[in-house]
Formats: sequence, C-alpha cells, structure tokens
Amino acid sequence: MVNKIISNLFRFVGLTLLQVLILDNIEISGYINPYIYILFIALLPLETPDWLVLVLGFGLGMTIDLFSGTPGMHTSATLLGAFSRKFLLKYLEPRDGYSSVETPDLKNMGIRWFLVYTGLLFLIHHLCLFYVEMFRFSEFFRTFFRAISSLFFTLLFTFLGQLLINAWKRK
Amino acid sequence: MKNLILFFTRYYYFFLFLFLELLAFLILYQNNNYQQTKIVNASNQITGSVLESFSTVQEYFHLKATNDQLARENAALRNHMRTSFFILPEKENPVSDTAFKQKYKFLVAEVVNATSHKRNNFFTLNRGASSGIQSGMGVIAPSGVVGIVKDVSENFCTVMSVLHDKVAIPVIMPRYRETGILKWDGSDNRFGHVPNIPTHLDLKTRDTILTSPSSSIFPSGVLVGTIEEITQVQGNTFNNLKVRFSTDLKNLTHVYVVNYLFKSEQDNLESKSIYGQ
Repeated sequence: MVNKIISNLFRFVGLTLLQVLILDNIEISGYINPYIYILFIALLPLETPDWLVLVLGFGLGMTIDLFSGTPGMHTSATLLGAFSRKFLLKYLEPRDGYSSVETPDLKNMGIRWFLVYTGLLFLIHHLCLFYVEMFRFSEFFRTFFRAISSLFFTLLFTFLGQLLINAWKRK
Repeated sequence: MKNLILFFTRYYYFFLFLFLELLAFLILYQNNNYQQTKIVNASNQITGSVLESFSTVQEYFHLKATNDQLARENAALRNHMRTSFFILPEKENPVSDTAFKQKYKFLVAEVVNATSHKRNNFFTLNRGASSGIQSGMGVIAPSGVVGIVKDVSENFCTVMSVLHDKVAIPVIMPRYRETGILKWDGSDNRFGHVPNIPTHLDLKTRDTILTSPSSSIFPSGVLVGTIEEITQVQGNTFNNLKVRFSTDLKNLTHVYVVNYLFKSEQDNLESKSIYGQ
C-alpha cells in the first residue's frame, strides 16, 4: 500500500517535471505540443477511491497551470479526464473483470486494450484543453486538427515510455 | 431531508466533479480579466525559482548565439559613441546636455521560461518589482519588439508576447507615415497581421514596419518586422499585410524592459482631458 503511494507520488513529480521542463519547450511543426502528464490519471491503481481520482486530477491540473501560467485551463481539462476515467474503465471492462490487475497499464492489460483506453481518455482531455484554450468555436476545425495531432504525439510518447520502463524492469 | 442527503451521497461523484469543474472555470474566468490574478501565476516565487534553475542549464546551449548577438550589439552601440562622431564647430551648433532629459530607461532581463506554440504565449523574466518593473511596460530585444509586461512579483515578471490574443501593437510604415495595428492570428508564430491598409499606398514586400510614435509603451521607431505578403480583401479598398517578425520569438535569451519615464505624466494628462473636467 505504502509502496504504491510512493511510486505514484514519484510518477506525479516525474511527469510534471517532464511536462513543464521538457515537453512544453518541444515544438513539432509549428503548434503541436504533447501533453503527457495526463498519463498519471490513466495509471492510477484500480482500487483508488473515486473522489481521490477527482481530487488528484484537480491537483495535477493546478500544478501544471502554475508552471505554464494558464490558471484553470489544464485544471478543467484534467478534471474532465479524471471524471471520465471511471466510465471508461467500466465500459472497457474485460469479460472476466479486472480480477488480479492492480494498475491498468500496458503490461497488465495488453497493447490493444491500453491503446483504446489511453486513446479515449487522452482524446477527451486534449479536446477539452484545446477548446478551453481557444474559448470560441470560430476556428473549430483548426483547433480540432491541433488536438488530434497533439494526441497522436502524446500516445506515441506514452507507448515509448511504457515499453522502455517494461524493458528496464525486466532487466 | 433524508432523501435529499441520500440523493447527494448517491451521486457524490458527479457533484464533486461539478463542484471542482466550476471552481476551475471560475479561476479561468478570473484570469481572463486582464491583470487580476496575482495568486496563481507563472511569476510566482516557487515556480519561478524552479524554472530559473532549469534555465541556467539551458543557457549553455544558447551561449554561442548570445555571444554573437552581444558582439553585434556592441558594434552598434560603438557607432553611437561620442568618439565615433565628427564634432562640428561649436559656434554654429551649440549643444548643451541640459537640453536633454532622459525619456526611456532600458533594463536588461533574462528569459527564464517561454512559450511560442500556444494560442496565447508568455515569457517569464528574472526581474520584478525589486528592479522597478511595473505592469504594462514594453519589452524589446536587440532585433525588435517582444511583448508587454503582464504580472509582476518580487523577483519575476510575466510578459505577454506579441503572440498573444490581447496584444495589439500600433505600427507605422515609415515611407508613407501610414499607421496600423499589428495583431497575431494564432496560426504561424513567425508572422503577424496588419489589417485595413489603404490600397493606394504603393507598399512593397520587404518594406520595414516600425513601432508608431503614438504608442506610450514602446519607444517610437523600434523594428517590428518586414512585410512578407500583401493581400487585398475581396470587394474592399483595403489591404491586409502579413508581417514577418524581426525577432525570433522561439529562441530569446536576453531582452530589455522599457521604462518610459513620462508614462504616468502622459497618461494622467490624457485621462484628465478625456474623462475628467
């Protein structure tokens, strides 16, 4: 239990620093920007109480907002992601339940399940984030394109990171 | 009453979400009112110091480019030195230093954090109220205009870059004395746009665009950029100019904060004439 809390705390700090110090400075073809910090919400243990997921989502978004000087923007998007996590997990539940699985990650759930899960969760977060950033629908399709292309890179980084960590653990 | 409590405990998940989301939007709304948030900000002491320590590492990567830039600027300043001028016979041109009063002060600052690919972009500088920086001051780089100071804390300040929805810079086309307003449309961070320029002006691409003397934020005649493309609006007698920024806003390390020493005097006088009796 304590072990799990510590590992999640490290993930929180690690992903936040990775996001604000490195990924926020990366610019792929003009205005694509991966937002990988939302992975923290996706990888919370399954037994985490519902309210705690929401509170952690709020805290994570707030932390990112503090560093990027955009109060409320990441908070609202991360919170929506945290809220939808419960329903996604319910909707994607395998036929025999989550039986012995503790964390819904790539290793435990397999590549197809994880791709659908993170894909949907990140899509909700990215769309909310980019439309809140614009705060109007006048450039609807351009914003949509930005969200989708950023989503692609976020997923790419997520999978690379998961594979690296798995390989490192196996050693 | 019991049913009500039961109702809330049953759907607490949804209500907690609703409450927190409303809180988030409240913070967001507060921030949209210009210069209101002082609590949650990138100019905050804690986040500022983390970003600054990371920036000292990043600085090494820019060392060569910064040196080049400084050398070029030294050369430009050398051109302004007394010794670089030919002294005219005093009888014809009496010059007295008391005829000049300092109008602008420039303060060098270092960029500790910057964005250039968001819809609204900011810089964080390592100077704040302790160095005399106030909200609303202009920020320029050796190569041109950069932005306007937004929030100020003790040792840091945030700057709205020209790549921000709320920044509009009064500009002038020096050849025709024609003025316009430069804004950024949110797409390509290399180009800004100046709408509504009359078509009868014979503008050429690569003409320079400078800051207008009517601005009380920037000194007049600071380089903004060059005209990249001129497009006529359909069925209209106006042109839209696409302007290439002279400053590379992605790779700034050192900038100058402009302190216009007569700003409060000018603003007070103007507001008295316009609003007061």
